[in-house]
Amino acid sequence: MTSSPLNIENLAITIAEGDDAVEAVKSMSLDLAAGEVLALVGESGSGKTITARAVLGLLPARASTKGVILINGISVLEATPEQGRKVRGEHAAMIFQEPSTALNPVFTIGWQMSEGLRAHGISDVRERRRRSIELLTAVGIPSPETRIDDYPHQFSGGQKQRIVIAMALALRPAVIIADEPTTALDVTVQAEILDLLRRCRDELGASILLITHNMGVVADLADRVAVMYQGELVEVAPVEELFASPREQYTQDLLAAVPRLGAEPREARDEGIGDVVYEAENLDIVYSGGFRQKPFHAVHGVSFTVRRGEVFGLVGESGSGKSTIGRSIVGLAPVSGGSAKLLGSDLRHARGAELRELRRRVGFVFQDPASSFNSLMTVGECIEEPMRIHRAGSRQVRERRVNELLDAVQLPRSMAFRHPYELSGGQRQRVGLARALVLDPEFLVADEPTSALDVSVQARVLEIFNELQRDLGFGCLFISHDLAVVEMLSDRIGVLQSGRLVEAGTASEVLQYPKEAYTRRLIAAVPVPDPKVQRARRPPTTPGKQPLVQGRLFQ
Amino acid sequence: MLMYVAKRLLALIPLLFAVSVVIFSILHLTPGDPARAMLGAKASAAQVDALRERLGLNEPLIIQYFQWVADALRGDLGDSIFLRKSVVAAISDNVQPTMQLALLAIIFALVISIPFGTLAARYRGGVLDQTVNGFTLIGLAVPSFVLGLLLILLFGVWLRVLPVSGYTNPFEDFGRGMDSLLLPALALGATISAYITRTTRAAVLDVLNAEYIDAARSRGVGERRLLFSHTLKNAGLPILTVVGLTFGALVTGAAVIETIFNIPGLGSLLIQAIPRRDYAVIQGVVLLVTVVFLLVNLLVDILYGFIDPRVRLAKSGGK
Repeated sequence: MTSSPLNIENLAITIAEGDDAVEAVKSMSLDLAAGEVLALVGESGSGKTITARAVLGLLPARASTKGVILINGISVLEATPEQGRKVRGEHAAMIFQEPSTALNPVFTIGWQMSEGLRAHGISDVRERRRRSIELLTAVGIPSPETRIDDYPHQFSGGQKQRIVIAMALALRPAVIIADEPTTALDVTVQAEILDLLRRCRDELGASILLITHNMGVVADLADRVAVMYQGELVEVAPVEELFASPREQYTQDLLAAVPRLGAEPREARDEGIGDVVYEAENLDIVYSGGFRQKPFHAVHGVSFTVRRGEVFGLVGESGSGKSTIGRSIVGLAPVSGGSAKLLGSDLRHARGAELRELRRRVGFVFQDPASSFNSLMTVGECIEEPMRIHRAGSRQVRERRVNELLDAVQLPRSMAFRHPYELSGGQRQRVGLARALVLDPEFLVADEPTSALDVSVQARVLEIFNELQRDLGFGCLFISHDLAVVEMLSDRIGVLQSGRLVEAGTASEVLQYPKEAYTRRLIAAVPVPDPKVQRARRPPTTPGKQPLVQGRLFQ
Repeated sequence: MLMYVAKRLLALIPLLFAVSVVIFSILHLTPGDPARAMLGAKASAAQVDALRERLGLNEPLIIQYFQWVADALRGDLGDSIFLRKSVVAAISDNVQPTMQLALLAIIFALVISIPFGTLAARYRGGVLDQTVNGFTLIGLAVPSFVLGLLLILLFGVWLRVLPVSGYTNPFEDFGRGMDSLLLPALALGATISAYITRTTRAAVLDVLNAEYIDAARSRGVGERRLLFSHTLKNAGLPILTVVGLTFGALVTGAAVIETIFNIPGLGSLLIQAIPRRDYAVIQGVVLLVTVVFLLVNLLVDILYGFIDPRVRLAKSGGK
């Protein structure tokens, strides 16, 4: 028996898929020391999440394992179902990526917290409630005595994640597995959750296995980093060493692909910038909100312009209205007040043929490449669909155009006959870009086009995008929550907060010399992918905060 | 919650209006003269005229409609010329057996389908799942009257443990009453239970794959508790919907089953009224059945609110 709370030795996981078997994890060994945050990084499909699930004994039935996993000396893979159940919650617990799906919508959070305690032999209902309230207080949920009886949907995303963390902490397990704990959250909320996780380690001495693809988060929180690639550990090193001098080629590539704020801003330029293609003036967007429901005011009096050949980056947190503005340009959201001029036509009054003509001249790239294609169509059919809709060109012309575009986004022409689900995420998003460009648009709206992609893939897609934009010279509204990505691509940037444009200017003005407090806060919250820098700029834990250990809890 | 119920109730009004128009038109969509159709070819012109007068058929259509609605609201659905009593009386004489039959059938269906559907989902692909699937297929494929006849043959003719037909009110003689209702309720419930079992299985499977179930599992909650406490409440929403909708199938099914088992219920009343063109009775029964169907589905909506806080506490917002 070793003293470290989590011990993985020669772990191999095979997943049966029909008659085939996929080796998801190939012989991996890892130790997690007491009070340590170990980051497990890698691209999607590298096997990091499945490793985490194996630790908790939560693998699907199709999976078979070899090797040993010890939690506090208990062998998880050999445990009986009842022993496994006891380990979960008591010795190890998990924090999930998406807090809204990790909480059951039809039960109060109090009930759900109490279920975890009940499973570990705390039979007194009042005792369970008392402990749950203490836990909620510890993770910083205001007025926990009343909120404990609320349902998950009544909390914000950040609060939900705090509740999930409270549930994980309930029995003070030695090992906490955090699977992308901040990926679904806004950057300012992310900073708070990272702070909370740090306190779990500092104040409770918990060991955290942090699974993430975000190198900024790694730099902020981790003590050591393990890099996984195609089911194998390629490198394990202390965080500073890994960032300063990565040993393996794969790690070097991974770090190089990470977009950094202020690293490579797009150079300012005037040439190639033409007339205004889109102009919003005091734009208001109100969702009418259905039968007897209050209308929802998503965008308030926003004004900005985009010129031909220029990329305008629109940033903001979720719910700030950035996607709504993008959708209003292609008619997926109503323009309710003010004016929005697209290629000289007023979007508010455009109807029929005029509107169709406008849509022909505008392209749109959707966020999720997995769901924005009809899976019954081939890639070629997806790309040429806008041409068919607008009756542009004969079959031969369309075919030629599809080939041109596949060349342009650097995919082999043979891809035209494949189906979208056969492609990887990055390839699919390149097809999305090709589809948006097929009619040679004068204006392109890109709504978080790379946020569903791995960093290395994202870098490639952004590079292609950048080249095409320069060559073709279309105007672009680039919507993203990722400041570093926006900085790489945009000539000018607008910052949205709760439906209002708080700041706009050239990329360097906004990101390097921000005028507004909100913009500064947003920039400060982005963790820098460099552990030394990040430690220096991390705000000290706010004084006066509730200590995590308090009352009779955890005794 | 009260607001929610009030809203659902208000939403019934336009529905009832639409329903009343349709039912009212039953009489007027008949080809030719409804009075002539009711009385048959042998009736004299004077008799037809008298009936037209009695039915108010000489008034303008819109007046007739409002007259009919006003009467219906007062609880007067007209008279049956064949039964020589008011439609309301005819319905109230026949409503009890049908309600008992329907209730028993639905209870029977729920008692089989919820546990079996849940377990089939839990042990997906296993022997139990496949057996349950097989039975639901049979249940869906075999019409309830065939099943009814088979049941009569088995329990009534061969085993002689239950009566082959007839009806005794269980409120007067519980034992004999239940005996008389058992087979028809079984026959009627079987088809419905096949539907509900399938829905339950699908719904439970859906929920079992949800991340919050894994999340609860990751905190050490046991499998049995996960299945019956954590999952079933979520799965309740689609199950409830199907239960509400099958209520319609229940009533039409009852018409056939009542005829086979010779039970004097609404189904039998309707089946007798149709060939006789007893329009008042047809309208009355259809109206009652529709209103009951609407009320059952209103109840389902309200239960929805109890199960899902997002329905009950619906605020503005949400994407």
